[in-house]
Amino acid sequence: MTSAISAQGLAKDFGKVRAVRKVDLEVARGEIYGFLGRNGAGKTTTIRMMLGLIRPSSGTIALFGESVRERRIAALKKVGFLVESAAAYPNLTVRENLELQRRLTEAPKGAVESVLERLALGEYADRRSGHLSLGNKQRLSLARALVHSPELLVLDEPANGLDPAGIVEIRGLLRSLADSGITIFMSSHILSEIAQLADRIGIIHEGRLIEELGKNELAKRKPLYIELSVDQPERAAAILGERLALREISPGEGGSLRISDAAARCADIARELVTAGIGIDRLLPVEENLEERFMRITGGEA
Amino acid sequence: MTFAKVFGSEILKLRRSKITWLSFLCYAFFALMAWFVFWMLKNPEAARNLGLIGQKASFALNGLTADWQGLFTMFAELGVAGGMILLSVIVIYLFGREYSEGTAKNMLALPVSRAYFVAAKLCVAALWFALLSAYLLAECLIVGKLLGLGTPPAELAARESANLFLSALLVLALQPIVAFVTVASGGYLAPFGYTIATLLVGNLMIRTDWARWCPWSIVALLGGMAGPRQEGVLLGSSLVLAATFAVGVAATVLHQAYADNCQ
Repeated sequence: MTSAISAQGLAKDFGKVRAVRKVDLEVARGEIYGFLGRNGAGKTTTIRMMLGLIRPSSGTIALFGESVRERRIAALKKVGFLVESAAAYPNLTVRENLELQRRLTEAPKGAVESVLERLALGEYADRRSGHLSLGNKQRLSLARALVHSPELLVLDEPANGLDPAGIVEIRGLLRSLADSGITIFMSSHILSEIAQLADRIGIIHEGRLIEELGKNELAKRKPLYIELSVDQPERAAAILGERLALREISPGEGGSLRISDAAARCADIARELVTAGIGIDRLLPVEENLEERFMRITGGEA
Repeated sequence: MTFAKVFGSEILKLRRSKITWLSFLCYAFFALMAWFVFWMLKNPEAARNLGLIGQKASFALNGLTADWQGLFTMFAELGVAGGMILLSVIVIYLFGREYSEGTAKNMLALPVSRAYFVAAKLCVAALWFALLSAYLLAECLIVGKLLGLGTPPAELAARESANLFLSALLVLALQPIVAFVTVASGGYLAPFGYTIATLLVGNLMIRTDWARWCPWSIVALLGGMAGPRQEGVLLGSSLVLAATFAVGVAATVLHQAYADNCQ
């Protein structure tokens, strides 16, 4: 079966600026793919090439096996999208904006009412979109992307402008869409959103796709250090150095100890300290989260 | 996807749009001005008594006479001069709003031929301008009645109506380039600048022998904006206008199809 998205050697130059460099990407059908990158990393340019809004300088991109460059209309038939900011015709109501989309995507007549209900936009249906809040405009854009029941959703920052409750709601919606077999390709600055939703994550930096993490790799977190709070920190450090040969022990916050030694195990530490009669308040293994991993890979500070 | 659906969607986009009504209001203002000028032309004594013209001044307007011929000529001039500006505003609005409202990316990423969008917008502009021209003609007849000119001779009315719509068609031929400047610049400012520049060029060229080869002067010549109105369009001038139209359409379609949309 062909992939939902397949890009080979995708590159885009704007004059001397190399926005995207030789990106190879495969997104399987039914997968939720999170696309991460800092501002200016090349996320939106990649998404725009995917939707045929920008022509690649080199390389190819196909959606469901149809080349976006050579067969744009066929490639985009099964695609719903939200690119950057939410936009709608301000003089038209929410229902009219969706009706416009329905006509242009040749969706069935009941599609507008169904998507209004799904996105909880019913009470705003007859309000002009120019009078909507940013969050509801974002909902409208998502509704527009869903009107024709696409098989692939390409979403650039779908949580933009949504309040925490709205984010949780949209997460649930995207999860239910993915469960029904829709492929979702989404970029977001909210890393926790991506971590909770995505089956796979690609990190783009300076135009290059520098890392891809699968669900298993996302679950396996790199241990960073062990945080230890005890009643006698200096004596505890000496005992751990002497009995467990731990060398990388440094003072942490609020009088705690930070054990960065790769050989350190919580069970061994607890046993030795209890044996020595030292009271333990806290013994916590700290692992690298997606945000820290992202910052480490892209050269930022965690 | 049929062209009719795209055209229908462009009509839907105009719902509750203020500019639709403003354009008709603008033409209503033209009629009011024409009525006022013609009233003075027809009643110079009354106008003099009201202090609208000087006691010793004579009131003449480019050789216009206070009859149906004069009135039709004045409305034809208004149709060309006002139309050149107003139709540009309409075209700039139809194409430019997609950029100012941020919807261009939504439109261009749809699985629909982009040439359909260009054609549909130009057809909407043509339909809009045809309605405005019909409205202007109706205003002309109403103003004539109000001025007590009686019933216009049928032959004159038919000829002048045909002239008015021909002028509208020629003004329309200039618009695809305005559409191109709008989509290429992605906003309103550049096409407005372009429109003003072409009006200036048209007005300068009209004083030279090259006027009938300059697209922006040809329309002005026909509308009688510089001296007596030229009757009919020369074949060479028609070809220049046809070429201007074709180049504008091709440039706009090619831009929409191939240029990067980084809105």
